[in-house]
Amino acid sequence: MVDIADVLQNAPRDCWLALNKDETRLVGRGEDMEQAIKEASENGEDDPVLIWSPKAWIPGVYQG
Amino acid sequence: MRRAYTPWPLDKPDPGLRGANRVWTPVLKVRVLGPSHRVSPSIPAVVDSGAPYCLFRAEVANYLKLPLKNGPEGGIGGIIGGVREPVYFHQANIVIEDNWTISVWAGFMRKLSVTAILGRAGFFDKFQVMFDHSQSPPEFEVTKIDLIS
Repeated sequence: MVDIADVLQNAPRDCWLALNKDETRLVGRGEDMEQAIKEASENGEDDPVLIWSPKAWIPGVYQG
Repeated sequence: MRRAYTPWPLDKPDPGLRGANRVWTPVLKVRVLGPSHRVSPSIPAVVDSGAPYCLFRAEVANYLKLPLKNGPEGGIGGIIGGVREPVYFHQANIVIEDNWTISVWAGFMRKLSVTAILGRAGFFDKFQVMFDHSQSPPEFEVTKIDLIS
């Protein structure tokens, strides 16, 4: 079963990602939130979950 | 409201987590409302009792048309010592899990590796949170505190 960790691990980094509502599929990306939302809409998702994809997935919440 | 933790990836197996390649994280979905009544999409916010207040990436302020640098500036660092990063504070309403709407004095900053954080001031003073690591995956329960005026 695909979960959000699998989706995020393989997704582009250092950008905004749009996921479908159940967070199993990447439906858009962008340098800003608007661009990711636009791509999601073009892919049929009008209420995406937006998430920041950091350069590296490491434990912790602040970038150095 | 009870939720399972969310698995987030790790690029390298973490020795602190016995080599796990994902970290289970308590996350709630929130939408942020700006002063112009623009509403953000649903974004994941880490429930973090170690954070002094609620924090959002600066792009969320941009999306809401909040003039980021017009807010009072503070600084915050992580648990590892280092350069303090500027944080700009604004009043915002947030809708939690499309269920509760609260008003928070929140910080917006560029160098946040997660999308948002629900911290002590603004969130933990309005909700009681029980973290249950006896489950696998862990779960947490969030209850709105009924304030007596």
